[in-house]
Amino acid sequence: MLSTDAIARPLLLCGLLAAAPLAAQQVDVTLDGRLVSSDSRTSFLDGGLGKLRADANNTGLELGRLRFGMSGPLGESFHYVLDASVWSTDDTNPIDLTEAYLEWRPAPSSVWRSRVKAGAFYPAISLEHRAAGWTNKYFLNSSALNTWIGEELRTIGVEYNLDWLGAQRNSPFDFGLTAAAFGWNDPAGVVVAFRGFALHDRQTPLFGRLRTWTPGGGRQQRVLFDEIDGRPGYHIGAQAKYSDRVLLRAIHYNNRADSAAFDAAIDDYAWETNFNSLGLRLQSANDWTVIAQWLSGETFVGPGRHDAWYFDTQFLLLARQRGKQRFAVRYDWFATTQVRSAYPGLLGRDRGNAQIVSWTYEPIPRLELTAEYLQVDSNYNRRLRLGEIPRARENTLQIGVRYTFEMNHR
Amino acid sequence: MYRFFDAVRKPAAILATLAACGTTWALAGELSIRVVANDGLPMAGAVVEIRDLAGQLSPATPIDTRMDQLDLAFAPTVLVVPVGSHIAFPNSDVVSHQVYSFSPAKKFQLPLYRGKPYPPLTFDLPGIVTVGCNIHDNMLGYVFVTDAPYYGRTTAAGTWFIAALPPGSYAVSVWHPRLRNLARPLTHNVSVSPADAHSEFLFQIREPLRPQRLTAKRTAGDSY
Repeated sequence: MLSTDAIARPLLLCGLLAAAPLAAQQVDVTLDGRLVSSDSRTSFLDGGLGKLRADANNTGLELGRLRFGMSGPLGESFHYVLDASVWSTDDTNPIDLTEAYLEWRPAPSSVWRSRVKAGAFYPAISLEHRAAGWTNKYFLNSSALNTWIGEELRTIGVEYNLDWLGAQRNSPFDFGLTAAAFGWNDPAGVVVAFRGFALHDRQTPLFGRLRTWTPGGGRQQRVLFDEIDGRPGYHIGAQAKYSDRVLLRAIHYNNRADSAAFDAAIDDYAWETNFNSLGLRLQSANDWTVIAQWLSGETFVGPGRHDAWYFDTQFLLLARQRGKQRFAVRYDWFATTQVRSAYPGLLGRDRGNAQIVSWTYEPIPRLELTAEYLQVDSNYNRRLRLGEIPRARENTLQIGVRYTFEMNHR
Repeated sequence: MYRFFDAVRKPAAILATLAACGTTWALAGELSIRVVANDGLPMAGAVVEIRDLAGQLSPATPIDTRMDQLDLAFAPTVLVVPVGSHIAFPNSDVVSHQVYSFSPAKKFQLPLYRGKPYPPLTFDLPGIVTVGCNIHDNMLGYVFVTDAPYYGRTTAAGTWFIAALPPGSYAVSVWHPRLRNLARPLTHNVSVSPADAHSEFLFQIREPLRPQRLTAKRTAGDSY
C-alpha cells in the first residue's frame, strides 16, 4: 500500500496547504443533516445489495455530510481547491479529502484560453453537481450515473483545457476541449461490476474506502484510488455552449489498466475500464432546467480479461425554480451485465430504474431545506446469493437541512 | 447595410399635440428615439448615440462611474460612457472575481480580488469593450465607449430623448447586446430643421434577436 501514491499525494497536499495562507482564502463549512425513512434492502455499505446509503436499519436522524472547503488564489494565475468531508463515523478516516488540486488559469488575452489542473479532481461529467464540493444542486440522492462517478472516479493527474471564448468575441457559442492523463484509478470498475449501480450522495474519499459486496463472500473495503500497473489512463472531452442556455458535453474515459496486474496490498486487480458519456443541459428564461446524461462502458478483470461486464445508465431530470423554492424530478435507468467469467456459475445481471421527486426551499441564503422521495426498482440475480429474491423495490423519504458557513479572509 | 431596421421619421404634424407644447424651441428641437424589437416589444437598455455629421460637436464630457459585481453578475451589465471616462470595478460578492477584457478598445485584467483593491480604469478609445470574469465564464458585461456628443440608454419603454438638439444633420446609432452583429451599431442619418419642435424616430429591428442571457446568478455560480 505504501507505494508512490502514498507519498506523492500527501506531498502535493502539503505543498498546497503550505502555500495557501499567503493569499486571500475562502473557507466554507457545510453541515448537512437528514431525517431518513427507508425500507431498503441491506445497504451495500453494510455488505448487502441494497441500492441506497441508508437502509431499513438506519432510519432516523443521520449525518448527510460535514464538508470543509477551502480555496483561494496563489499569485495572479493560480488558484487551489481543497475539499474534505466527513460522511460517517465508521469510515477509514474520520475526515478525508474528496478533491485537492491546483489550477493555472491565466486571464485570457485572446479568444483562446488555456487552463491546466493538477491534483485530484472530478472529470467534467456531472451536470447535476453544480455547487462547491461537488454538491448536487437538485437532489439529496444523485443519479445512478453521477453516483458512480462519485464512487469510483477521480482524475489524479493533469488535465489540460483549451477554451474558445466566443461570448467575448460577439458569438453566442463557446467551445472547449479537454485532455487528461492520470494514475491511481486502476480499481475503477470493481464496484459497478460486483454491486451494480446505486443512488446516493456519498463520494469515495481519496484516502478512504468504499464498502461493497463481493461474490467471494460478504463485504469488502475497496480501495479505489490506487496505482497497480504503472500505466497512466486518459480521458478526452469536448463541450459546446449556446449562450448560457444550452450545454453539451462528451467524454471518453479509459484507465488503460492492465487487467492481469494484481496488488496484494489492496487485494485487488487493476480493472480495465473505459466508457463514453454524453450530457445535455437546457435552461429556459422561465427557470426550467432539463438535464439528460448517458453513459455506456465496459470493464475487464483478470489475466486475459477473463471476467467482463458491460454497464449502461442514463437519466432525465426536470427542475423548476420558483423564487426561493425548487421542484425537481428525475427518472433513472441502469444496467450492469456480466458477459464472461472464469468461474462457473451465475453471470451477474442487474437491471433497474428509479424515480425521484424533490422539493427544496431556501428561506435565507446558504440554508436549504429539502424533502425528497426516491423509489428504486431493481432486479439483480446476485441477490440470490444473499438468500434474497432478485427483485427489490426500495423506497426512501428524506428530509434534509443544509447550512453553509462562509468564512472569508481578505 | 441598413436592411435590419427602419428609421421612420414621423412628420411633425402627426405629433401636433406634442409640438404645440414645444413651439418656443425654434432653434433646438426635442428628439425622441424609440427602439422596437422584431417581435414588436420595446427594447429596453439599448445604447443610443447621436453624432453631428458636420463633426463640429466635441465628444461628451467624461464621467466617473462603476461596474459592480453582484450575485455573480456585472451590475449594470451594460455601461455607456464618453471617451476618457473612469470606471471602477468593485467586487461586492463574497467570492473572488478576475475581471478581464481583450477587446481592442481596452485590454486589461484585474487579478483575482474581492472588494475594491484597484483604482478606476480609464477608457480612452471608443469601441465596445466586452468584459468577462476568468473564473465565472457566464459573467458577461459590456462597456460601450462613445465619442459622440450625445448618448444614453433607452428606458423600459424602449425610449430615449434629448431635449435640446440644435438643428443640423445627425447620425443616430443604436446598439444592444442582443443584436446579431455586436461589433457595429445600427445607424441612420436624420436631419433636424429649425421648424421641428419635436421629432420622433422609430427603430424597428427586423432581425431575430439573440436570446436574452439568463440571470447570471442561476448559471454563473457553477463550480463544475
